[in-house]
Amino acid sequence: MKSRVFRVAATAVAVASLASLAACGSNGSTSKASGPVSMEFWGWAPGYDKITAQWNAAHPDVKVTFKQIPSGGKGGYDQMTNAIAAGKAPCLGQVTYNDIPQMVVKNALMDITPYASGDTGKYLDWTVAASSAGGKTYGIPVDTGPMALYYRTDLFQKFGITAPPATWDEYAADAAKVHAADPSVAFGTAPQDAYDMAGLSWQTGKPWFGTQGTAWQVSIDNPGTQQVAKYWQDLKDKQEVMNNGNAWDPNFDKASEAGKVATFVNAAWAVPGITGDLKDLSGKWAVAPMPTWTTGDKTSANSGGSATSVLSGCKTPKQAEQFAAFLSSDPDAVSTGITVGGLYPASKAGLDNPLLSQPNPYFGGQKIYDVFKQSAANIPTTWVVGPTFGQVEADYSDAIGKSGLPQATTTVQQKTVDKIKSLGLSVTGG
Amino acid sequence: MSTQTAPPPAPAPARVVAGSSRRRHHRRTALSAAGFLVPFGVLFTAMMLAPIGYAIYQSFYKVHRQGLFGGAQTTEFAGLDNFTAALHDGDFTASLGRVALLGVVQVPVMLGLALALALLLDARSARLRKTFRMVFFLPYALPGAIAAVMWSFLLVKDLSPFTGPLGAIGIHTDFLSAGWIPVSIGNMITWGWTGYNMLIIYSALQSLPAEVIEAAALDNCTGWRLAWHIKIPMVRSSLVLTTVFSIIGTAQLYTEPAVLAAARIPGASNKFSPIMNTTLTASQADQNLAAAESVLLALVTLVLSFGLLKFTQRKTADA
Repeated sequence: MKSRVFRVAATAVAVASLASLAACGSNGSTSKASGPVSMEFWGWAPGYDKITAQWNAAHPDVKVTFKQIPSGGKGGYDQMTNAIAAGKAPCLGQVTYNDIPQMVVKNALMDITPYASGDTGKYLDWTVAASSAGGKTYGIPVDTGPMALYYRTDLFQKFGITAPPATWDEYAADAAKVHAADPSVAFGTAPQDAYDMAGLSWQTGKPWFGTQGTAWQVSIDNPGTQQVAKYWQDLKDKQEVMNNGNAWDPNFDKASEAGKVATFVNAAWAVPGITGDLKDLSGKWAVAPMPTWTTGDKTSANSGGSATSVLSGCKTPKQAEQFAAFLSSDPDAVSTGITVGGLYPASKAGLDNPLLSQPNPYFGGQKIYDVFKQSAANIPTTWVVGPTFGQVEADYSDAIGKSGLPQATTTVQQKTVDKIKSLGLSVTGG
Repeated sequence: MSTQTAPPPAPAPARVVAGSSRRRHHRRTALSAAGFLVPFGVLFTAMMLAPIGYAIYQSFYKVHRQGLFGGAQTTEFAGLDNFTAALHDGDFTASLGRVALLGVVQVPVMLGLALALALLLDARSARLRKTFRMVFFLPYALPGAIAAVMWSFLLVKDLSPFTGPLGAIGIHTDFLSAGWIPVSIGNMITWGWTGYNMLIIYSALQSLPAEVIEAAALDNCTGWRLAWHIKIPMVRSSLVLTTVFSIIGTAQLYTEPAVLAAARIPGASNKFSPIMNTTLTASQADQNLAAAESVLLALVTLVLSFGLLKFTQRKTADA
């Protein structure tokens, strides 16, 4: 009697668990495309969801579903590569220029040269180059990150700084002035990771990577990077810049609200970060050109910026490429990108978007995009991205926490050479 | 597998049964045992054995790439190359050392605290027993990541409620500076897990035979002496169990340092623990090396936990 009850229960449990396993297995394999095409798009930039909705409204036969994922370096790329390995990858993914080569090495991106060849002329040349690898197109450029100096007009006035610093020497002099007047106020934020270091080093015109035949050349530890590293380490040592907290860290927001930080140097896409997080400071921030290393020079830099890539395994690459091109070049999509995401367009036509010549009330009515336009026109186009940016990023953040910026740069150089070797690619130490 | 592991024969029936019926009875118990074991067996194989086997398999292979971007990739047997590479990776070995040091300091502190709290709760004079048990256990109910975020706000220099008062009495510390981070992480783990370990020890204390405690009391052995001479030796096995759990937990440390690293706190290394190293390696297109690192970590953990178990068993046998 008792044993029969047990047996029934055991069988029920067994059947239930097998059924749930089976349910797991069959999930998702029902997307056999017949009639209208549907695909997924994974990304994290603000505004992509709205642009996707605009596409869907105009293209009832190709339905795209946007899924918000963590930004690439924070696990987004791992989600994409895991999904590819599981055969359940989305057709489209946001990939930053920094990460396209390593995603190609991971076999995660599809060569879309045949579909994109007619489109590539519409975008800035260097963004097209940054979205390619080995002469093949792996993404449609969406935005760039022309850099500028964000500064607090009220604090500048308070400390008697009449004009934003035009050179890094002036920046350091202003920092010293503010520190002398009130040591609790930081003049800016020190670079904390590879993104910051790459942006600032880009301006020196000395790229971190190069290629010679089929071998990578690593030159992260170059005179340009060292100039940047020594400059900021000096400001850090004098405690004239915040050495913890970057724009949008709670730390930065708090310091900002308390009037304890006067500037930061970052890309155009930083705009929604401050306007969203620091609403109360409306009218107090302004934008000026990024300081330069020599007087009269206008050389600027790029930080970040993304392309839309078609991921390996996509069954409808042609439609996927069409969506990517829409996201990057459709006038309404570009407008949405600018207003919601602060995305500075990589498309040549997009640069004439009327929104880019409008005054911005948050910035006291300043036409901030005039500054970014000038910045974008002065970005050196010699920058080359290496095949292991994830590792460079991880090692830089780690090394900056353990030692000064110049030493960290030397450490990262060596670790990058080792990592490229360990991936089985050829490399020279530059 | 599961059909062969029949349970020990049922207790002998009072009445002698005929041979064939006993055999049938046997078959029936074997069947129902199998019914119980199959779901577990299937899940265990699919979720534990297969991934472990796959990781071990992967750790012996290496991907060969060509050109600048890998080109056509081939996978070849690599022997122990990945293991040598992992052991030559300074970041990985340093992280092993880091969690070892953390374990040596933090685990005794946490278990000492857990034992003390359990004994206090178990003491005859304890009041509001249920409330305190709840309160001590509560941190464990909070997901680890949320607790880590909470602590990172409590400890970060400019937001921390502690730095102000401490600064007023002349102590100026940044709990999230490189030197303090291991201590802060130890604090987070202790906060999160003391209640859990306390509960295990407390249930062992609760199941001690009342007559033993009473006999001790009759011999005038109470309070501190009762705890030291009677209770602690009798809950020895749960102390060993919690120690083994804690060693495994420390070796697999991830959440707390990962939250700090994700918050971009300078000095919070994204390579703090072995698993963080492995995760990074895997996300950098080096699955085989990551597999070797995981296997090494598993081996170290196994040796430590089983070593401790064997050691304590021998000591018990000696005693």
